[in-house]
Amino acid sequence: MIQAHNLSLIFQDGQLSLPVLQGIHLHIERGEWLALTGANGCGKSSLIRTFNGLLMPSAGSLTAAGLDLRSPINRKTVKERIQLVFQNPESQTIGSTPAEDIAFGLENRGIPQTEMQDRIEVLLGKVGLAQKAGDDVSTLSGGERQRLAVASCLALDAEMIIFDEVTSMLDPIGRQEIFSLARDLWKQGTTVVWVTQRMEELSESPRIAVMEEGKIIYDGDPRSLFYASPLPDKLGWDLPPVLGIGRLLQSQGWAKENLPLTESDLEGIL
Amino acid sequence: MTIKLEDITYSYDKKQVLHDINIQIPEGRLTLICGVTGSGKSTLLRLISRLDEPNSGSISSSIKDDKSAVSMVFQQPETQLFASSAHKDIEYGLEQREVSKPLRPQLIQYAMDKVGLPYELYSQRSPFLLSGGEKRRLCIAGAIAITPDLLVLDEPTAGLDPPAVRGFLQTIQELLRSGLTIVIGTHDLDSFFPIADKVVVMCQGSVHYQGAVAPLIDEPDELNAAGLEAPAYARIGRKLKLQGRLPNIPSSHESLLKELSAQPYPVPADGTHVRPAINLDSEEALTAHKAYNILPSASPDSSPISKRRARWQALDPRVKWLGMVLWTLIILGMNSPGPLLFTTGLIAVLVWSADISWRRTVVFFRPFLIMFLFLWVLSSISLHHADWQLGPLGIAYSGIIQGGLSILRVILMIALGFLFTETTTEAPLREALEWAIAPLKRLGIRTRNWSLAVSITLQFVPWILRKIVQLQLALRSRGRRKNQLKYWTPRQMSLLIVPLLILVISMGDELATAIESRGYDPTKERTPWFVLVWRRSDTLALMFILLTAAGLWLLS
Repeated sequence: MIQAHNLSLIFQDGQLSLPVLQGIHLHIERGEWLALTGANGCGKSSLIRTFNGLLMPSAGSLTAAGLDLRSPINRKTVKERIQLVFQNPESQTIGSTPAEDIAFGLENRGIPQTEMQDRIEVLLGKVGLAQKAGDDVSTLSGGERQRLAVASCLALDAEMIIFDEVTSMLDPIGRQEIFSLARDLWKQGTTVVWVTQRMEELSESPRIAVMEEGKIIYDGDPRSLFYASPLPDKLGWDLPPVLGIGRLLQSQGWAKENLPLTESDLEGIL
Repeated sequence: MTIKLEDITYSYDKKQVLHDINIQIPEGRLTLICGVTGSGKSTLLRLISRLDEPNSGSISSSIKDDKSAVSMVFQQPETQLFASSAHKDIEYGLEQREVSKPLRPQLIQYAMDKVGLPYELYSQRSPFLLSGGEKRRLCIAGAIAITPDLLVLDEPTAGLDPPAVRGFLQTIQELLRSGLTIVIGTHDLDSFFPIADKVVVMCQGSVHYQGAVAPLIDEPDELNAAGLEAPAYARIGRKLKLQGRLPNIPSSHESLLKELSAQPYPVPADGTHVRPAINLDSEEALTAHKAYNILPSASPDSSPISKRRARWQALDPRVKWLGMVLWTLIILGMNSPGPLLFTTGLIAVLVWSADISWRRTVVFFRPFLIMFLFLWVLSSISLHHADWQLGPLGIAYSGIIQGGLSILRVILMIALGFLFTETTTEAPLREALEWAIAPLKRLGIRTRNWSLAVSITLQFVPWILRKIVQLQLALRSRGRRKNQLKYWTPRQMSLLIVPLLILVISMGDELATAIESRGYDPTKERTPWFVLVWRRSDTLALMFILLTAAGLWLLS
């Protein structure tokens, strides 16, 4: 789905050159779930914006959905196939009701009018907003607006959805709603890049990439990251209790593959 | 300082946001206010900070000048940073609280160091160019620099990376040791429960629980009923206690690990693996992740559309466009008070008939009214033909009348736009405009671009006004509360411009990205979702518009 080789991105601030991305190598397979993390300002948002052509890399090669992003026509195509869901749902709602918001993408795709209403209903049902089709979007909760953004991405038949720290401003219900929705889409074949600072979300991801100062410093599975790598300590992460207990068990001689990553893993052990 | 809230109620837009609130904030302690979106948490924080007043009930404190003794930091740092450097931003608050100039550098340095922004590195940096976490820390520095007696923070750890959260918690503990009273509104119970002295759980506008942390840990039903979840260490500790492995539920992550390290678990035999965290085939996993369909919705306000509003919305948008344009032209030609006042009454009736709430109307017009009041005062000043002398200033009667009429004309035109956008959603608005300007296509004008731009701009006027209100609130929280008029001075207004522009530009940028990502291409054919249909009711509305327009024209 994404093939990045030696990707670099430099921002110019007057005379100053700020390296935002440096020598990024990353392959994301179709249907994969990749969690991306790193401290504030490490380049996560810039990297994901290169994936759908919003930012052009300064050097290196980048192929998304099989298309070389150096071509402007390819970038235009990729923008529809790889969708971004931002932290702030207000800035991605175009319509003033959920139905209108989804319809905007369908209109642009030239979907026949007779089909449009059915599609809107299916998409709203998919994200659990069927009862709110005609509500004013400003009355939706944060989680509901994020789910609406996902439905609008799906209206474009997106092959890959990038979630950029979408849970950071949400309450527990909103967080659970959007995370569950992303998991369901992934299980149905959508490629997902999940950008997060939350350890609980990382430990539920099959693959994690960690960034620091514009570079990917780890790319692998969660068990190796949390139980075999010095990175969590080096980066000053506060591990959630499940991983803390896992490390305790590890110190008592447990093998890495038996250690828990989630609370349900832990229930199986304890 | 101690704060006592008694029998508080607070309503917004006919909806009761808070009711029967009776809580006490203990001095020198950390009180958490928890609750999901729409529970009334943020409103309660504003009342505690004395930035808003309740509809009924009383708020008392142990300090006489309590309004000046409170500092509040809001959830979004972007709406509370104003100055060109970190130093100046903190200094603004000190100046407003009348801290003498020589004392300020020392206080600024202390506050910046305290939140982990070394003064030497950060003092001259622009607040707008800092990262999200740095901006949040700068806001907190601004709040503690004025040495408040009460510090109120709304979701302070949202969006912070893990090391920043840890640093922030240390700062809070240090501030508590120095005797500061702190109130934090949060969902992040894992971070704050171990250091909290008191917890107030809010649910649907009322206090669901208040008291110590321990009972909530022992019996999490109170939290669950409010849509919250006990911290992970408490959830795990509870299960272990039920299994008889722990005597008590631990009070923190560290105490959980300490208890467990005392009783090692047998190492499993080779080949016995735990259930994998990611199990694609597990039916259980699939049902577990369907939470968004079964959880209660936490919408801030989901009142159904009233019949009166629905009637307005059902009108063809073309008739509303026509009405707005026609009335605007007639208002522009009005030069005497009688017709203008009559039109004002007529528009007020129309706003009422659309069931637009009084509160919403006031919130919309407030920023305009302040600006127009200022312009009215300016237009009444005359150097050569003054009717009255106010010190060095001359005031002309004709200036007052003419200025007032001009301003009323503009307000009425804005009111027509307000009525139109409140009763027309984005898609009909866009379709009607595109239909009206379709002939311009022949001149090479991209009518689709224009109709989309106008409809989105009109839809985002309320968003911009909401941001202005947030910025004003942040400014008020930074300044003295004695003289409200001070917040409408040219200097205060100029402080709002840069952050507001940054917010609007960044919003516009993300919105343009969203539009492009949704496949928008003005050169491609599209199939409109909203179809313009002219009904009998539209003909009647058109007749009403034409008749009233003719009447107003004759009257003017």
